[in-house]
Amino acid sequence: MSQIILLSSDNVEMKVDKEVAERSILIKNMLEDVGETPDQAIPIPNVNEGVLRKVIEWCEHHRNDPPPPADEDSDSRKKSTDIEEWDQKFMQVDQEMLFEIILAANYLDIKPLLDVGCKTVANMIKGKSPEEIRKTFNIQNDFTPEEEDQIRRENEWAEE
Amino acid sequence: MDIISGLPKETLSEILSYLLIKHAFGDIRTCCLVSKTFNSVASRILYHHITLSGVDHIGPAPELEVSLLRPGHQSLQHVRSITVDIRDPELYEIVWPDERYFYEDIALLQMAGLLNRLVERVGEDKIKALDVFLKAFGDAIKNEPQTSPVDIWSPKSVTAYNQDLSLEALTIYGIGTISISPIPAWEMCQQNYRMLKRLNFHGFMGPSVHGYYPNTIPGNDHLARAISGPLQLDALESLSFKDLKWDSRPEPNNSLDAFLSELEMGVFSACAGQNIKTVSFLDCGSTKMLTLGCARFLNHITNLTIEISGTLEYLETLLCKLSCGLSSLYVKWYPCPENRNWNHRLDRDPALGKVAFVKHSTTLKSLYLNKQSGHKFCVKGPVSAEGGDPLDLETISKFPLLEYLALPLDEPDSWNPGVVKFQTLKFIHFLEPFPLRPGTESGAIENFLRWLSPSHEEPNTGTVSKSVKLKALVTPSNWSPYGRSTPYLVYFRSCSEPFYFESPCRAFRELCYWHPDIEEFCMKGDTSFCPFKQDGGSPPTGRGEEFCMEGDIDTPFCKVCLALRPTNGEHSE
Repeated sequence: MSQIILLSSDNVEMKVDKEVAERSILIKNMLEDVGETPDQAIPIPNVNEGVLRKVIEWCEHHRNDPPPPADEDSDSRKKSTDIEEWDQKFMQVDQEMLFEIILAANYLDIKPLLDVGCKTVANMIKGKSPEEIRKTFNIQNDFTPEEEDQIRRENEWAEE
Repeated sequence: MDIISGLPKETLSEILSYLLIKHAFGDIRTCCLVSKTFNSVASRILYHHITLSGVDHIGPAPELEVSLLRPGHQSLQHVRSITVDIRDPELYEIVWPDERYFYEDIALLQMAGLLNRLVERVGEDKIKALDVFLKAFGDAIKNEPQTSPVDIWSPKSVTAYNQDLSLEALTIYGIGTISISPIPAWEMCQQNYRMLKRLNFHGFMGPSVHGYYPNTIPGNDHLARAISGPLQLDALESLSFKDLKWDSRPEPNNSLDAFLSELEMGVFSACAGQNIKTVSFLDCGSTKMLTLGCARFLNHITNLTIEISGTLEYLETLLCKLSCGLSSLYVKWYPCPENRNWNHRLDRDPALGKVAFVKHSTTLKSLYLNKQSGHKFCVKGPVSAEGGDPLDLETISKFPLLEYLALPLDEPDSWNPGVVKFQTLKFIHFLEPFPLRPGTESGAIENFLRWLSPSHEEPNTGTVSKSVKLKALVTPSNWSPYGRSTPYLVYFRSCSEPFYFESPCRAFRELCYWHPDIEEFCMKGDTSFCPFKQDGGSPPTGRGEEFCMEGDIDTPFCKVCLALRPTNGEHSE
């Protein structure tokens, strides 16, 4: 099993199986472009050590997953927010780490991990009121009462 | 700035898109009110598709017009698709048979007016999908020419400009009716639809308005002829035929053969065959001829939905004829019309043979085999059946990709635990009644479920929440969309005891809220199953329900208010 070295943004080197690293489409394409297994570390400039370890942990666990179907209709809204048990536990991290993982998955192009992250956040939003959502994510309400009222009225058609 | 608002817009959009579930706008609407950043992303999702619902005979719901056409409405720029939905006015036929048409026409005119104004505001070129009952609009205009200054909306390019339209989905109702020709539907058919992905041909005049009219036949060929012109369907992926009937009168131009050959010269020559992935044939008078006639054009489909009656040989033939592997197959079987009389049952229950699945077993992800009126249909237990080689559950259990399965099933009594189990199954829906209270006579199904999945040994966590996976749904056969009926059972993977729902409507809504994929699966197989139809599709917000509190939704399955409790004991409050 050939291994490659990844270099995190804070200059920490990590050795991983090539197969595991290739869950990242970004890395996979990069390796394909190079043609052979590189000797020196591959820099991952946007991801720090802690997050990169987490991402690698996920890739290790899912190393044998079948590739996601390519023809999936990205526009379809039939999405389920089901999350596998292991992934749920994996995502039990503080919010900062959760969003770091999402950003890293986005940057490294690991679609299934991005999905899990997005579902986790979506589940944190489900069923809450606007105020509860603001509280959960520490969001500042930047609407004036008039603006809020305008949006509420505009969206009345969608009320059940 | 907080972290979530600092995410790239497309990532936040990805997150929020998981909140949009059919019939349930609650969460996404809430997101619009959180902050400006949230609003900019959530409104894009909320407004992508708009449904204009008419209230019975009185036209569009007032709040539609008031809220959608508010001055300065910024979010309308995001609209890409519109459905017009006028609910069934059948009720009024009984009450006021004469006045009904009057009210209906007014309702349609009002709806047409609203659609006009909305499209004007949105910008015609932005609308990608239109699902509208053109026949109904046409009639409304025709009947009241003097008092109805409202124009029927149709893409401007109908006759004046011969440019490409940007619609991605088009449903044409009223195919095969006499009076259709002067109505824009026909003219729209002559446009170039280079962007069109989904094309639906419906024989009846609209799902609600006039929907119960008998189909008047002459003119089936008009449609095919109309679309056999300069039409370009480069992007077409999905075709649906529904309620097409043929006249038994021997008029040459109205025969099925004529329709088929026009289809061949029209739709099928205008589109690239390999692009068509999804086909459905629903309640068509000559489904057999139509499907077999179309089969040679369907060699790249992956999804097939078909309603059939009588024997199943031709379905087997069709499945064998296809050179592709299906990933989704919905079979809705009904007795032959002439056999609907209970005294004229078929001698033997029809059985779908294993042979039909030779090409599809390695690709099937979802399989739905319905059951009607007491006929046992096809799937026996793993005990080998006599005569022929019918599909059996053991065979199905070896389909390597199967995730969703619904089927009628005889009482499972003897299972060979050595056979390969359903490795990838996520959800099974039993369409047969079983003894409903476990601990009484339901031993057989519990054994069966153990056979189905090795997960029965997982510890019982005692609570069921959104994170718990659904394993099986058992529906009593007398399930009725109207009012209460026998409770039904839901088995979750990590709970040893099943849960039962006393109110199927409510329960199904709850399930679908957390498992929209299951709603999709169940509804496609049997629309009458869906409780949304009767109550207008409210999401499970809990409003108006006894005992329900706001915020309960996070733990939907262990609250008193959901009439859902473990069957093995008292509900602790």
